[in-house]
Amino acid sequence: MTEQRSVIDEIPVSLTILVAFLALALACGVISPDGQRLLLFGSMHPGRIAHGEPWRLVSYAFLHGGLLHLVMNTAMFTMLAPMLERELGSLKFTVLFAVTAIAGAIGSIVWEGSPLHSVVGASGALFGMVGAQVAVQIRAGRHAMEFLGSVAGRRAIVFILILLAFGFLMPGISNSAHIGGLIAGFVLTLTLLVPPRLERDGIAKAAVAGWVALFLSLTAWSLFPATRWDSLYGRLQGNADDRPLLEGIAAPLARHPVDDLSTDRLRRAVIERFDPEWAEITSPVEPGEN
Amino acid sequence: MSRTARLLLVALLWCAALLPPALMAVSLWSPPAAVSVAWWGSRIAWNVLGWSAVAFAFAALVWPPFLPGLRVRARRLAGRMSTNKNQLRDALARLAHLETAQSHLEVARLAHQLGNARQALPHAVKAVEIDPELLSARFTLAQVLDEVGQRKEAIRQCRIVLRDDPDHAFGKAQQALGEMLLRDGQVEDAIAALTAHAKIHSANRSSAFSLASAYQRAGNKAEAARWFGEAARNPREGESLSAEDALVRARARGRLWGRGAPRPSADANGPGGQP
Repeated sequence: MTEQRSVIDEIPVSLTILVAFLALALACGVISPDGQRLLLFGSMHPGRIAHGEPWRLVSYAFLHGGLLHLVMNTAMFTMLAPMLERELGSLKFTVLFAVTAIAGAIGSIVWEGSPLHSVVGASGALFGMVGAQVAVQIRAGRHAMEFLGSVAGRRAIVFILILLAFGFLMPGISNSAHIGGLIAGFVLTLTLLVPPRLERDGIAKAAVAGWVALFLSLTAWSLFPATRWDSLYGRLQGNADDRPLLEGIAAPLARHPVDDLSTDRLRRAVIERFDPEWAEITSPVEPGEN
Repeated sequence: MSRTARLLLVALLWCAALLPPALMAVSLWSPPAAVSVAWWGSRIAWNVLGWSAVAFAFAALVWPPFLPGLRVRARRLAGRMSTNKNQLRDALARLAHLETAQSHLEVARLAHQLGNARQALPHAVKAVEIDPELLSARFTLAQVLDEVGQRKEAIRQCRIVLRDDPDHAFGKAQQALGEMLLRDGQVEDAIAALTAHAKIHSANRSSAFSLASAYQRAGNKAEAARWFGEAARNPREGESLSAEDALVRARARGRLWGRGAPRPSADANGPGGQP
């Protein structure tokens, strides 16, 4: 009983996250989860994030897309999370998990560029933990490269490379989320969670501020994607009488007179103008074609 | 990493951070313009990236120094990252308790090794002030002065070192003097210094390349080709090239190709690539 208590005291956040993985897997379906339930419980959906559901930037990291996904991520989580939570402390570990989950979502949103590309899984945050582990080892050494002298350090690098290669080769894996989480975990730990022993000079302080600004800026862009075509569509849905906006979209399309544009045609006009590849994918199949 | 490179990286980071807010500001003025800018921007960025990869592959194929140059830079970066900075901290702590020429020299050497010539300079100066007879301190001072751009003084210090010990640092001081003179535009003096180095210590690839460059600037094409040939000679059996040597060899090969000279061959007995 005493031992159980001490484990709970030592790694409360890791245990809570682990319980959340399992509970949400049961709620959504362990073997083959239901898409609608995943959406209900908070899968990462860029279009919905941009239209008033910001929690999806984090909540997707607690959901998984099947038994294999759940088993692999849970196994990796139980290897990495307790070690890091003991190393950093529960508060810093919570910040690490949240920031790397958000960075994973941002990576996926920026790379995919589509408002409809949905993602679930803790992989982004797990890659963040691997990056954080490398950063902790770098800070523990006498110099930046010393960790490569140890077997554990070399294994960590090989582990990252294998996982990234796996992500590139296997279809249906969002490697952009992995890379986003990995960079965020490494940089966050190296700059803020385990700071250097010597005082930083002006350039180093500006670099730390720059990383924070980049993270906040990309998070804001994910919430208000002013540069993505669906932002125009959202604006049109909100205000179809916005004449300057209508003309701005329709002007390059001489064959679409403003007065003739129904909402659906407007949507298609926006897509054709700004995302022809996506228009090709979503264009309706003509009758008789298979 | 130099201060300029660090500043450049921080500036790039801030540019990346300010890009989304800038586009959001554009969207306040004209939402379609913001989307257009991002759409075209991403396509231009991808094109630039693709063409950069093509240019990279082309340069690697046709310009011999390209890959060895990358290797040297990677090794220097790894060297700086794998230098134990605690040694410099310890040396500075020892210096705070006991100020001697040796302790200043140690700090100057370690800072120089870490690529921080400006930190090394005052300690090298102090070491020479305390003990003017300490030639290793004077040579370190010359190297640091050369790096911070005070070449005349660097040459003067190097000449003092060589006056008292012509073989200082196994000929490195002689070679350094020749290269400093060449960079300073004193071509004839550079040829004399590097020829003396080649006679006493037998030319290495780097000094042969410098001597060839000096002859080239002096207009002596035959001697230039001869020494470029020596710098570009193929490695002898069992000889492994360091990253720096590989770069010098590649640069010499490039110069020889530019001159239309015959390709160098392995010659164990002396300068190869006869003009």
